[in-house]
Amino acid sequence: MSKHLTIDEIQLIISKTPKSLDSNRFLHFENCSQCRTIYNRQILANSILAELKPRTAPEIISQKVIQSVERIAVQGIPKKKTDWVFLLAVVTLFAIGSWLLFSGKIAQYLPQNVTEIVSEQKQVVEENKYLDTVKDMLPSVNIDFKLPDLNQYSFFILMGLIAILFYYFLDRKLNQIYRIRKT
Amino acid sequence: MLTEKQLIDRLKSGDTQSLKKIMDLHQDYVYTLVIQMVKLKDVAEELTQDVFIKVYNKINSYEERSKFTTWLYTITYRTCLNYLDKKKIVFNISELTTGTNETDISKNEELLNTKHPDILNDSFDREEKQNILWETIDHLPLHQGIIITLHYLQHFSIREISDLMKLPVNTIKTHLHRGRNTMREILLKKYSEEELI
Repeated sequence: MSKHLTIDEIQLIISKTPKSLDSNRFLHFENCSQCRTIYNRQILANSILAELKPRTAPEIISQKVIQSVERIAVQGIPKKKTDWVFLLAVVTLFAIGSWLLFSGKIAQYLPQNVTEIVSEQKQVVEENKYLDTVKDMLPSVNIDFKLPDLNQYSFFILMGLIAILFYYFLDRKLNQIYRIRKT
Repeated sequence: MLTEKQLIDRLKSGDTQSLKKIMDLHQDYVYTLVIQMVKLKDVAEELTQDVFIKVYNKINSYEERSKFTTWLYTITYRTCLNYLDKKKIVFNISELTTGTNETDISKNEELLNTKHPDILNDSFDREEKQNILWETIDHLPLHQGIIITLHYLQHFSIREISDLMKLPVNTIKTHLHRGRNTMREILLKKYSEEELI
């Protein structure tokens, strides 16, 4: 007597797609009362469950969803009160940054000095005797470069742009979350 | 009568009425899966709303490579998981490998001993039958109930359930088989085969 059919094999017979089922396995199935019992039980369970129908959702669900969605469609993304907190935080950070910049406390590290530092470094590099050798070996490499002429005002504008972009990034992310949860 | 694809295209262009039609087609199924996972009607209503609002918000990210229902039930399943996670309700994957626990067995015993209305007579109508089926499924271990719902109601294949629940195919097969058997045993103790089919 060969081994009993597995549930997978029985399911293949039930679904009438026993492609991978060996003919010996069929023979076993035909003659084994135990396998046929399991088969009948599976058929019964399948028949019961095939009758399954969904529970009825309360009508109010679709009404509420449509109301929310129409509100979104008409008003766009609702603004969140806490947006002001983030705007305030960004503006405060921007103000502190600006104050530090103009008070000179960090000015020594800022762009005009960066240009000087770079040019000093460049001079040192050019004096290095080994560099000439490298330059000869790689004539196509242009090591001369210029830093854009940044002054305090252009740096100030750049910081402003970064702050605005940062604010929009936060605003977009938070509103998306807000729209999903609260509408 | 618009096809599902046409409804989706319209929804992508912002037509809220097509969402209503999509909801008419799917909301009962979504609600059923949600209630199967969270067990509470009020919460299930809220989460079903959340699911369809997410559908509206994210419809442009649906690329039609998979079936719409697969995408929809993925959103549904994840929404419920997020809820359970927030409520610190452990959706214990290990339960899947250890099978029915003692609480579930005692629940099943309880169900077996519950007196149903006399359905042996000809009053065994469709609605009663559905109630009995869902009551039986509700008494299965959580995962088995979900897997049975996905397979027999949403017509998900075992592979699709495995992808959705991120569990091995064999685990899904085992629990589908256990769930089916438990249901059959519970039901046969109360009703005859003829009544059930």
